[in-house]
Amino acid sequence: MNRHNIAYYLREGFKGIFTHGFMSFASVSVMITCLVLTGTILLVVLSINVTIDDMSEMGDIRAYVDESYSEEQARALEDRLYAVNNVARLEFISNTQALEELKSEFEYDSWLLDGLEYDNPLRHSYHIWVLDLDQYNDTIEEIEKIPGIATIISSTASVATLTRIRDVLGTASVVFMILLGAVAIFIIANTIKLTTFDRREEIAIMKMIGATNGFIQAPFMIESLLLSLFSAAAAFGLEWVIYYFLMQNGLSAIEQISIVSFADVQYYFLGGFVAFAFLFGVLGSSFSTRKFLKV
Amino acid sequence: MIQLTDVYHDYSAGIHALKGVDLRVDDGEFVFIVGPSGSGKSTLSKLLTAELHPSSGKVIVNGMNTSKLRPRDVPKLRRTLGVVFQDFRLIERMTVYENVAFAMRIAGKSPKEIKRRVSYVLDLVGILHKARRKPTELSGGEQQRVSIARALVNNPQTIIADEPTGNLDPDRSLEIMMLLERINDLGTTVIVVTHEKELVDQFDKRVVAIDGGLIISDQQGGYFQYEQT
Repeated sequence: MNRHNIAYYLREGFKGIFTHGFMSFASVSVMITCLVLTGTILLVVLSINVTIDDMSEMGDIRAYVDESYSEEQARALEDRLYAVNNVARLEFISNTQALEELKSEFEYDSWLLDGLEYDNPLRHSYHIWVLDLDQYNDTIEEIEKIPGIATIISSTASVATLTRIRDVLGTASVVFMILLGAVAIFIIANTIKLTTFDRREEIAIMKMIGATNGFIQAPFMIESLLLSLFSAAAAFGLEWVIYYFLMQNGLSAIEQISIVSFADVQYYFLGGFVAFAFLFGVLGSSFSTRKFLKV
Repeated sequence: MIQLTDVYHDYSAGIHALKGVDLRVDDGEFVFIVGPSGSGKSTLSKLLTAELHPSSGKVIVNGMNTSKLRPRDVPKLRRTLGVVFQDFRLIERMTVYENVAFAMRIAGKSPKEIKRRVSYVLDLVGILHKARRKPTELSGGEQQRVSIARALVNNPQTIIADEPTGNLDPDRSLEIMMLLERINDLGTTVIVVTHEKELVDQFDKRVVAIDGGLIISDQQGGYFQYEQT
């Protein structure tokens, strides 16, 4: 690219946007919609991931030891449990410790539990954390087979459901991205095609006086890049507004789900939006100008 | 130098536009290519600018074989040529100055060079005083002068003028032809494709006559004579 011509490319690129203002508006709108929808789905998927991670962090498998086992016998199960595939770590909770925890949960009514320490009805148990949530059910089945493990309480259903939702949404976001991306490229290509069609005679003249395809395409490329980058910036702003609006209107109050912090992902979103917009712009303009360059 | 060797050109509709043309134009020559409509002279002109490629034979323009040119090298060929069209082909939204400067911008020249050269060339063709006008504000003759200035501005080896006086009255046509002759005197090869007998006969130049896709006469100081054949 000749440096003397950069100002010309930019000037012509800007002019092109306003030559077909309505089409420019349409392509910007479609691109913003595409990016915001994809971004929102991505935020949901990320939040589900955080929720699943939190659930596994909480050690949501609780394995209760047979009530006939003494504390010493119960502690001896630790090696067998560690031998189970996919167990990351575990924590032994004696029945005494469990009673203390129960009392602390009762707070002011803990006197109701007074005296139980002499004939503790609670069992020894283990909190178990797993490595891979996808093997969650298999891990539980293996733990159940260990002699001395009487009962297991887990959130199998909720983890499985969340994993399924995450997978479906993950696929949906990819499909959305492809479909809306194709629509965005189509709209941009048509906007640029209108500008090139308007200037087809000029293009033919340029070709005859020795202009390279790069020289002819550059202003159209700039036009579509400007449209795309504006869309990316607007989509990022809108995504930010939507996120904070939902957080302030009750989403953050739902304890069962963990919402990913927008501040943690904002640079990835901005980078992703700009990258996608850049791709839309380049593809859109190259599809539309090719036809007019065969002179 | 331009050299066509046994050049054939067939259009897809089965029309044989050129049937074995041999032609050599040396540097600094002034050549009229004449012939009736459909004789093949415009096809010949388009072969020189690489708008068309020969079906067979060889076309060498300023040292480049057009059949072997890669698409991305076509602009390089065209920058060695200045092309003048019958319908001027000026960009209407640009001023006279901008139209001429644009050809230099395309060639990647610096703003300083552009400023100096464009003023010189506009002065040479006698249109400098209308540099700020738009093409639509000019007469046909003036527009053709601008077109010639644009063709000349990158100092091409050859100027190819395809019916440059087709849209002009006889007086303006003569002026344009004299301008092209003057440019030729400065060392640029000039090839004029035309069917205007009176105009050709006023100049003592080489005349190549084409009819039916063949060169039927090629004479230095010749006359417009395809009608006699």
